[in-house]
Amino acid sequence: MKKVITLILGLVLPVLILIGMEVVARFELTTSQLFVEPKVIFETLVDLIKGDELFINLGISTLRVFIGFVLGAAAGLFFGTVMGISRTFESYVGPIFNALRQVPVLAWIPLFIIWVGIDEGFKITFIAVTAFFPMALNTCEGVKGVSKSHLEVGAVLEINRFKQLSTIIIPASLPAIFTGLRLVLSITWMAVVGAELVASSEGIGYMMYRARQQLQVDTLLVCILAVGLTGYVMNILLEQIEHYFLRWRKVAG
Amino acid sequence: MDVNKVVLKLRGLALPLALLAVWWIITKNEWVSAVFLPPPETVAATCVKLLLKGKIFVDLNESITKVAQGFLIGITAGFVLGTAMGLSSTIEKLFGPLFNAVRQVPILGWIPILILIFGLTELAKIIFIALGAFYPMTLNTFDGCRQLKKEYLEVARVFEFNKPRLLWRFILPSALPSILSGIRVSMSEAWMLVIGAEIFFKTRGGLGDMMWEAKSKVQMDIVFITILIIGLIGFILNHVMKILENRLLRWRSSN
Amino acid sequence: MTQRGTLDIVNLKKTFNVNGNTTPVLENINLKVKQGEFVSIIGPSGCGKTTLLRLVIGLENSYEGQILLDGKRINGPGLDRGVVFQDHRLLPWLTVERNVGLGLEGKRNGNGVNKQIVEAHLKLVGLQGFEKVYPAQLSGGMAQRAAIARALVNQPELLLLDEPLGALDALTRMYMQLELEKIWQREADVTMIMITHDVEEAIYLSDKVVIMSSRPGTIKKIIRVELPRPRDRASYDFMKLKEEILEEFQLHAENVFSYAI
Ligand SMILES: Nc1ncnc2c1ncn2[C@@H]1O[C@H](COP(=O)(O)OP(=O)(O)OP(=O)(O)O)[C@@H](O)[C@H]1O
Ligand SMILES: [Mg+2]
Repeated sequence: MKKVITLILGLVLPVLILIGMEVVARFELTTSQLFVEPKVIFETLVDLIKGDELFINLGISTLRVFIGFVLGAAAGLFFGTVMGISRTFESYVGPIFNALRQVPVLAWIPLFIIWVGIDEGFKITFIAVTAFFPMALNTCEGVKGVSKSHLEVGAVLEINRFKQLSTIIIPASLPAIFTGLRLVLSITWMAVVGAELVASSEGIGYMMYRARQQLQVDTLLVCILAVGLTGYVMNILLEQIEHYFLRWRKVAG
Repeated sequence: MDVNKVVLKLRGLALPLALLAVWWIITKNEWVSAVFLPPPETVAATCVKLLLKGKIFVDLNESITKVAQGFLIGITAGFVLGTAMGLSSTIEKLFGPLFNAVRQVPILGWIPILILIFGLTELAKIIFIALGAFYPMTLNTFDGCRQLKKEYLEVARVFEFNKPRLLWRFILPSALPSILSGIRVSMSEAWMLVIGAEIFFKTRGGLGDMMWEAKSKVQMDIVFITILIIGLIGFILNHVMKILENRLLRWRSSN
Repeated sequence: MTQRGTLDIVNLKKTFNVNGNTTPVLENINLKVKQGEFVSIIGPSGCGKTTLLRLVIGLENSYEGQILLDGKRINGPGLDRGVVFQDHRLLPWLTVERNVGLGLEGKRNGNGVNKQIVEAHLKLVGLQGFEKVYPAQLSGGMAQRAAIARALVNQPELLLLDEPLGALDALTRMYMQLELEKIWQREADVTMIMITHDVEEAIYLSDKVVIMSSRPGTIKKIIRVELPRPRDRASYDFMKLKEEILEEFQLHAENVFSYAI
């Protein structure tokens, strides 16, 4: 019963918005080209789902995110771990890392375009760099946060460095690493849209760009919906992976 | 200051200096075209020139004005919605689902529709920035409002506090740490988005535009300098917020 | 007319609902406390002491029987009762001064008056000079004293203390017992009810010691302490009384044991 009420309350605003749009449409309150009836949006949605344009573009964007994500996150994971473990390494590299981290990711775009061009290389580089910084930071903090007592156990048992890393440090910093991964996923999903808006001839960002130029508000809205939904689904997938890994950790240790 | 710390600080300088040296050697021997990597001295000279010419301050001013407006609108709205949702579960149930759904759309995805509706105007950019600042502020405020422990609520009941005083004395103070970090996150988000707005909305004025123009003309030195300035300002904003947080949250420290 | 600060509990019964099961927590509680009396409640863990106190505070509202303060039924919390919780519950974001003045905020006394009241109470608990300090910077004993000052600031008829000294180390606790006695003597017409686990503490401070037994919580025995104050913990009478009370728990333990067989 309570759940039903919660659900209904949650639907109130979206339904009101739809009704509002419908009213505007019925009584022809606006002549703006920009206004589309809910019915048209729905039809466009159905059309786009039936066709393959939307899915191809989404697929391309997802692939780009995936590659950039894997490259950037792997680099960040490695870099962050080393920085967390070795104070010497941190003392050399930490300051410049922190300085570069201050630059808002979007401000790298012009530099990369000049250096890498506007092809696939640019998009992947840009996405990987946006993934790198938060990943490295979260990993480093996670590794540093591994409590002293855990490490002392390792020292007492005279486990070697590598063993220590794989049996103590990485498992113990897994929660922080996953926090980083989730953050990185949403940032890279934003980054791919940005990269495609700037320079691309395919991908969901490009599809939105084109819809805007052709004043196809309905297509644009469907794209927004699709982008949001895809991001949401990816997030849920990652959460499932996280559950799986953290459960494993609990059982094993 | 003890010797160890000085050594650590000096080590931090080693890598940047080495990079600078490599950069200098590369450009000296022209292993890479100066178009892509201008020599350090050129960048320094351009930097001085830009500062003397003063146009950069006009752009800077433009960006900061824009970010301030968007940021203020965003955090005000976020504060109101976050507090309302934190205090009333009905409001939370009403607005929560829609808020969370809208939040799933990557912020840059709103650009095309904003351009369609509002055109390439200041307003479009300010709304865009405000939206970016709005999300983290709402989430943090909402979270903060639920920080108050049941035990403290009982104290309020024992002293017969009414709703407004409960809010003022108990709920908001306990939410303050969360709210302040919301403000900080919103601020750096807004700072990133103002650059984004100037790039993606392709309009004149502002640091982002300056950067974009330099990119189009392949003036690498100016691109470097703008990145530096943008990073520096982001750092300063963040740092100022942290100082403010420490001051306002003095009660948390024990010594 | 009943005197200010008299508490009358008649045939009190309290049950809790846990996943559909009603378990009785308090049963057949009858207790009379006179104005200015110091009463301790002592009993095994989980017997319902805190529940009883929360009922008197007014934080729990459903019960059978009567709880009368000055002849009137208790209906929710009120400023006529001061409360000291086991965890001091000072608001971490307010200075000591502000914390102590919390109960005065609703009163339009004018700033000067409120300030004076706060100062007087800080002096009462020996915290002058700590007005501007935040709770995080206080020691456990100091925080508990500030909490006592906060509870007294509204001049309650009844001060309710739930193991106020439970979290303190043994030495600080003894010192605080002295302080508490002084406060009680100075605030002569304030009735105090204190929960404790410490038999010695109960005897040292109280006019009456209420001994409870558990499942469901009932009053097993009420022992009057008529030793002259200040009390000497090493005196024969003190020790004898302590034996007597400990005996109660001993017997109780044996009962449990025989049930088990
Ligand atoms: N809100 C509640 N809902 C259900 N059961 C409760 C609730 N509060 C207390 N109880 C139960 O009532 C019983 C008495 O609890 P109470 O806290 O009053 O004991 P106590 O005598 O203060 O114990 P202690 O000495 O450990 O503080 C316990 O069995 C407890 O589990
Ligand atoms: Mg208790």
